[in-house]
Amino acid sequence: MLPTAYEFHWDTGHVVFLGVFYSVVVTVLSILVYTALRGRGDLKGQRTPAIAWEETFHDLPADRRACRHAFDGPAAGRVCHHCFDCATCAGHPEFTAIGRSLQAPQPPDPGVPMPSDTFYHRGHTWVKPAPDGTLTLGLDPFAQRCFGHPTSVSLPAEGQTVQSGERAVTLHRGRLEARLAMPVAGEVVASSSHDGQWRLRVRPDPASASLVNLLRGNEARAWMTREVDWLQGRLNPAGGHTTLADGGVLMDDLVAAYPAADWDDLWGQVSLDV
Amino acid sequence: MKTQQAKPARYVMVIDVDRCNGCGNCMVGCAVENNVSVPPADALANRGLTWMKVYRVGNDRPFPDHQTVCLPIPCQHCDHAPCIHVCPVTAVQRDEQTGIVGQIPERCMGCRYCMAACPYHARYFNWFTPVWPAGMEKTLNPDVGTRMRGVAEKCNFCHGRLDRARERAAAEGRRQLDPGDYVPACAEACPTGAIRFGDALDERSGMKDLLAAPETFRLLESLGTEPKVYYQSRHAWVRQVGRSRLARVRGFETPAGEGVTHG
Amino acid sequence: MDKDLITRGLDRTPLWKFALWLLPWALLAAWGGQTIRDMFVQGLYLTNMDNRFAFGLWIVFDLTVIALGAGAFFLGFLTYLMRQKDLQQVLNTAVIVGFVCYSGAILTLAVDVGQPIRAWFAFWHANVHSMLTEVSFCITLYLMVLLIEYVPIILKNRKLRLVPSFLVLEFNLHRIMFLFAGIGAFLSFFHQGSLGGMFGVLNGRPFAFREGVGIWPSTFFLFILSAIAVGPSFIMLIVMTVSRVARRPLVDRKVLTRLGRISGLLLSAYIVAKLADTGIWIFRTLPDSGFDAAEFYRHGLFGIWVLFLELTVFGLLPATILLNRRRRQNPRWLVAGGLLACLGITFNRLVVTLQTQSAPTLSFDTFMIYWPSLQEWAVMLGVVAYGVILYSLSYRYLNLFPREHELKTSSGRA
Repeated sequence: MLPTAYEFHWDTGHVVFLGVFYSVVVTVLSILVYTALRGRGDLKGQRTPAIAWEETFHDLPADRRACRHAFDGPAAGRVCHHCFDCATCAGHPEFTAIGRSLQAPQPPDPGVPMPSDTFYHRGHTWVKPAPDGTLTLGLDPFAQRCFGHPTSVSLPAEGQTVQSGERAVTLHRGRLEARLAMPVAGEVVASSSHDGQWRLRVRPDPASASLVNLLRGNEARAWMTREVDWLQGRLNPAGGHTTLADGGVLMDDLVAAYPAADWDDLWGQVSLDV
Repeated sequence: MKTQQAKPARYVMVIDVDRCNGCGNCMVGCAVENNVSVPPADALANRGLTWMKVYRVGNDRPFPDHQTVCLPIPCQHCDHAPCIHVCPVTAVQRDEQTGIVGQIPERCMGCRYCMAACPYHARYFNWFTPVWPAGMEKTLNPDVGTRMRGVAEKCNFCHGRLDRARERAAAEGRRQLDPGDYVPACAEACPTGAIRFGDALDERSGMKDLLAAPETFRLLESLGTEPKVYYQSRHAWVRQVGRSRLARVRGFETPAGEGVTHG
Repeated sequence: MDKDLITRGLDRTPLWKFALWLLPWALLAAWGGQTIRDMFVQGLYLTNMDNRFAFGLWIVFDLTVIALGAGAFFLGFLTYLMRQKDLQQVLNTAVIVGFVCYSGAILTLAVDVGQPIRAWFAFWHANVHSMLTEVSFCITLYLMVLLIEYVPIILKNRKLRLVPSFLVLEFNLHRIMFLFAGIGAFLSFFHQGSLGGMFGVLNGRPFAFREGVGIWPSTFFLFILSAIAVGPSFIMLIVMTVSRVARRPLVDRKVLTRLGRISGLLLSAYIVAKLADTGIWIFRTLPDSGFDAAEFYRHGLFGIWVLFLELTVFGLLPATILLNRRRRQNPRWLVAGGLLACLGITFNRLVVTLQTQSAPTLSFDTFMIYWPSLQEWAVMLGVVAYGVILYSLSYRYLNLFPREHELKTSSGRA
């Protein structure tokens, strides 16, 4: 039964072979324990929303991850590898400076209202700073037309802290679900919803990057034009679509207007979710 | 096998093929001694358990020059046994003290790698659960364990008899075994005395002279297995039987043909 | 019905159709499972193996699937450690195929050995000089590594990733996955080699016995080389088959041709090595052991055509096809090349196992033939069915092909 029965003795072969084998076993187990501990640390340290954002970001197709500097300036065709975290991106300051000096021409009218004092998150939420230092959040008109009239909205409670990228707002419409990413981090001061429309007021977390990662002005308009083109391409794959070059207006409820489209997919793409 | 003895031994078997008449008594004696079970009547031919197996070998010549001999083949207890270094669970070991290659049935997991390795086809697998018909269990040898389904087994030179011989010698106050004290069942059962067995390192056994005789040969020596079962024959063609087929055929200088054999 | 479990943006057949697809495989698996039960309860006499043919269909099957599953470690090695980012598109499939191959092989082995409950003896009473010990250790450990690589793929399922602990676990596993790619490559190198070594060390079987370097016979290296040559081809064939069955592109064309090219290059190297090895065997190793090569090719079905087939039809031919750029661009030729390569490895494993045992050793041996029994086929097909079921479930509910969505939308099937 025991290896020592029947005259077992250790020799070099045993030491080498079993040594290598058990080293590998120990290595594998150590890595697993380390991973488990890191995971526990991440859970405890409330890093789940950031991890979820990063994981989802890398699963998005390339055309949803275009770098903001591709819209109006110097980095045509560039794809973001940094989870849209422009605040910590090495290229962002340089591209911004080049973009300013290039003085790109006025982008065309995207066909949806885009006031110049509003900041836009790539997931189609907007942020407007209020005089008292809080930020107002809402869903931009493009996404509103994509989502139509949601049957239910779930919002974070007042007093709840949200992280940037955390999917704190959920919209439902029948079987469709959109989980919207928060454009900023902070504490929810007020939340309200009415007839499928919702508003949040957030006191921003001073330590976070706040508005650096968000689009504004010409950049935002250029982005929105591309989004409208993208949506048109998806809804009319045969190519026979009416262009908006002359400034037409998107229909109010696209889900009802294009019932055959894969809205589960489109809702996900619009809200940068998988 | 844990063994202690005063002097190391090297047990060899010498089989005089010219004396073997193919009676098969060695096979029966072996089966009785070692509790070798009998598979069902409808079992395939190569599913049998025959630790000692007698082959019939012909000389590939047509009548009237045709000759046949019978070749008893047990485990050859090779000094460089292919089966020992392939067993993954160390269920096969060669005893340094005696040279006997032993099988540990309780440890065997039945992978049959040893059986693929053995060129003498001397290893057998328990494809069936061993059963003894009612009443036949009285014929079992109490000194030898039975094996279970799913393990390999083979001739072990009846080393249980070696242990008993040592016990007897110790009881009689002798520190060393005498030739004839320990003889495997096949050698004991052979009516013509074709199977001789003894310690090659013991002058008194007479084995050394037998091994050195010109008519002595071994099977498949060119493979380097160093078997400890030797065969003897005065006939040149029989001595060729231990070589590879083509070498053997070339030795005869006859056209190559499928030999008249069955296992 | 189960749309919520399916990756967003990907369409899969309705659940009832999927169930219909699974049904025949489930029946096959059930047949295999029933036969496995019979093996355990009644005995291995239900096979056609016997004392002269101790290794049969199942061993050939094990050797083949382990060689075909080499794509898992090799592509992982190329992706993580050699930075070949393109191959990431097929890596999930490679991991699952590898897992299926190794778990299937281990299951088949458990049925094949006479005392499977004693399998742990290989660890407790390890004979460090046996190639089979090395194989047992390595494939057990490697199966664990494959499981560790499979789990993150599962955890990224649409619904499962919403569970915070699953998400965080997957994220952290992914960060250190390159370590497992390295460990997997290390383990695979040794067990692929040891499987070859198992036959090369048989000094009692001149047909199989080979000289080598140190304790490793040439078959050690030939098996590794043939495994990494064929692994990419097998993955390529699987992806193309799934693509055809699902009627959509799943990866960029260039990835498939890339896999074909890798296969072609390694297959060429293998042919050269095998030719050299065969030459040494015929002109030195065999004469030294007192045997003659002609001896092994005069019996029954195993004529000299076996050697010829292995080297030309299953060796030079696929290598030439896969090395030709124009041919690689043509899916039919790509499949032909890959298929011939995979069949070649199957054939090689079969020859090494069966011909070794058929070939006479004693001069008065007869040449033996063997044909698997129905039960052996049942177990083998049952294991194959298990693999198909597992992969089908993975394809349906997991995001195996990162480019599938983009390829769908860009081809205008939005």
